[in-house]
Amino acid sequence: MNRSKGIVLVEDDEGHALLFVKQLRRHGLRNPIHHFATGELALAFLDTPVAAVETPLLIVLDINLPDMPGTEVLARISAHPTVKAIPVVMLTSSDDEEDARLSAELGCRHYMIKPLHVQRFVDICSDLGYPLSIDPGVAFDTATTKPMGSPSTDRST
Amino acid sequence: MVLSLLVGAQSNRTIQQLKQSDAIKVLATDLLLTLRRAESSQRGYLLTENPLYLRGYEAGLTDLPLAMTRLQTAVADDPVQTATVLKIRSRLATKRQEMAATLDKLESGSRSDALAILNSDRGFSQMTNISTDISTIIRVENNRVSRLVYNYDTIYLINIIVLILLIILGFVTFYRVAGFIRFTRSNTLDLLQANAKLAALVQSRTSEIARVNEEIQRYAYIVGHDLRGPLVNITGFTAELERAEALLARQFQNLKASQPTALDPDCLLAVQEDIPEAIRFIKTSTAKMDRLIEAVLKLSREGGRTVLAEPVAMNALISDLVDCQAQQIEATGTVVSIGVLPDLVSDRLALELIFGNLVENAVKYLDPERPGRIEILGSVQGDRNTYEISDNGRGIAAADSERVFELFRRAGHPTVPGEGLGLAFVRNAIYRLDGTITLESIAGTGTKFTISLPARLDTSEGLEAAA
Repeated sequence: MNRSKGIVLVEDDEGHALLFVKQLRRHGLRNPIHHFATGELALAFLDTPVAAVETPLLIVLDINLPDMPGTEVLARISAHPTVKAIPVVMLTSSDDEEDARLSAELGCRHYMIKPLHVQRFVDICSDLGYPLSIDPGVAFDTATTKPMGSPSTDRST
Repeated sequence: MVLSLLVGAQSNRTIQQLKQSDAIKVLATDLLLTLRRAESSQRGYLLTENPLYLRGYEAGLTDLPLAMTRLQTAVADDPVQTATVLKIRSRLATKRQEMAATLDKLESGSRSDALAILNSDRGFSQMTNISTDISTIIRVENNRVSRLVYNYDTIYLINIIVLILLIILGFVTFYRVAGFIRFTRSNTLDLLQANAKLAALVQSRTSEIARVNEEIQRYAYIVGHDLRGPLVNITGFTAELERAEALLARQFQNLKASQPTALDPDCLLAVQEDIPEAIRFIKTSTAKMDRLIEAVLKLSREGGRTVLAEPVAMNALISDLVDCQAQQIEATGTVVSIGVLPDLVSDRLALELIFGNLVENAVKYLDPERPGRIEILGSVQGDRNTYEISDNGRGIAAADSERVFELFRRAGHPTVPGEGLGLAFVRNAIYRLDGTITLESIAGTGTKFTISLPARLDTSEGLEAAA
């Protein structure tokens, strides 16, 4: 996993965002995580030259956002000239077929049901070509600084 | 009508009588004229002795009996007239004798004797009498004619009245019939209007129900979704707490080993027992809440799903559902018998949900004290099919027979796990299929669910929108 490249997280619920980040950090993910609470903020970031040059690895997008539906953000990303190739993972708060269907229609094959299960995230990442491995016991491991999942051979900054 | 016919017959008779009267008058006048001709010829002969007069006299005498007979025949029906005619006949005979006598005297050369007879009052008075009698006959006939005409007028009047009555009757009948037709038509119109109003009312109520249902579903969906957000945080941060607590507990454990006196025993207890206990309860509760929210969402999703009518072989469907419970059925030695079940054209998924839950319930709530028996039967009632699922399980108390269909409600079997969702789903699904479900149960003896469903589900009309 390219550690310099960021992960964009679009999530209006602070708690959900915090739990997500904490879990990934605890499992050794070192990549920068850019968190935005609204669709507009996220899209504004994706429009910046930084985002264009340092293309984020992944966009994790909550389907329920306060300013616009997550699916609309998804549609605008898909139509965006510089960031349309970035894979998007949708976050839903329930196992709703309608949400999944809508996401799939807009070209998003991956979605995670909250709360986040790290294993699910790892599976999705490996499916997208970013191999990760995690230690299931790590959640209770005091040595959280030990990098997990990122192969040491990965290019580092 | 009969009256009119009678009146017609009467007028015919009247016309006949009028003709008869006319004939009598003509005959009577004829008789008088014949007699007068004979008399004047007689007198002419007496004065002139011209044989021409004698021939006229003799011709008159020849005509008289014929005229007399004709008149007599004509008045034969009328006794009064006949009496007069007979009187004329006898006077006529006397008159003839008088005339014959004068002529006899003349023949025998005694002209003066003949004139003496003529001068006597005999012939004249006879003639006057006959003339009066004839007048009487004519008067009687005239009276008869005027009476007949009067009668005829009356009959005519009656006829007119009858006609008028008939016309009035016709009008009344027409008015009545027209009124009835108007009444019927206005009634029909009223009925049609009432029908149209009713249809519009049903339409508006149906769309109202559809709207309310839609709102409830959206509401359930939003509530479910929105409750999930905080719940994810509670679950997530409880896990964080648990993790931190585990670190603390280990730290305290180490501390207790190395420096037993430095540790507050209450603090150790809190970290090792109280906090984990609290976290355990929070986790159990959030897990349950998660299932309940999932159930609400499922219910709202099921309600929003479009039902599809397709042919469903019910024996195959029920057998598959029973097979799903095979392990439990075998373990408890339960006997399941399935009768010949009528097939349906209905929504397969909903049917699986309905019968799956009912079969599962039957198996789940069997009485461990006795060998289980489950029976599934079906029958056809007109355009609806009835299915019965009966068991000899624990049964449901009468007080709970409605409660069991409510969401999250369970009838006192705390030993059997469950959220109290199954029957709420079942009833919801049955309503969606335009069906009904009732239950008969005796606590401790068994339960029988009776389900009535349309043999062919109509997905076209309001039902769909209403659901």
